[in-house]
Amino acid sequence: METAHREKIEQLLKGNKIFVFMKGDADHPKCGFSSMVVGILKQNNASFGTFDVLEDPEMRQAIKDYSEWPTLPQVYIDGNFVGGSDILMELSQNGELKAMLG
Amino acid sequence: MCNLNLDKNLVEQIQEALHAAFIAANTAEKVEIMAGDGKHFSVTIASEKFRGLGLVAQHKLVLKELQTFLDAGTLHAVKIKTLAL
Repeated sequence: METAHREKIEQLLKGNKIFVFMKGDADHPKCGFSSMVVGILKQNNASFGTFDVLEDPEMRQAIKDYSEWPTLPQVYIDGNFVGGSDILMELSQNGELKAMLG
Repeated sequence: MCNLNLDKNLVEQIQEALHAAFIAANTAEKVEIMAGDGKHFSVTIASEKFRGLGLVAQHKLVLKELQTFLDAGTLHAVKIKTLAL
């Protein structure tokens, strides 16, 4: 991964307690899984930043390299990779997400 | 963009790969694959291999086994549920 991409990612994560790399944005998710993640965060009244990887193919690859995770969306809390849609759903259902967002 | 078509053969290949990776002697261990309507694909795996690992680490183990399918583009999205035994 190029340094410029890593720096951009770290800057985005530093500036947002909750951040989602996704397809589309919070108002217009362009994939069912991205939509699900946005829905869960909204349900929890979380405010979060997003980056649309469809607008930037290089960043789409860079974020996968950064987290060593092959799919989008990717949710980060306090700079840490938390998971994609499955894990977020599980954390939401078992109550752990509430604590992480708090 | 989120669609995925699976043929039976692919499901069998994935089943075999996951079995080899996660099923040892423990009889409680299991791999379940649901291909659903051919667009939705999910795996549930219970294995001792997940013990002591966080969810991201557990899913990464599964994704590693699915990497070849993901790289080939046949597998775009898979729902993963892991249980540590």
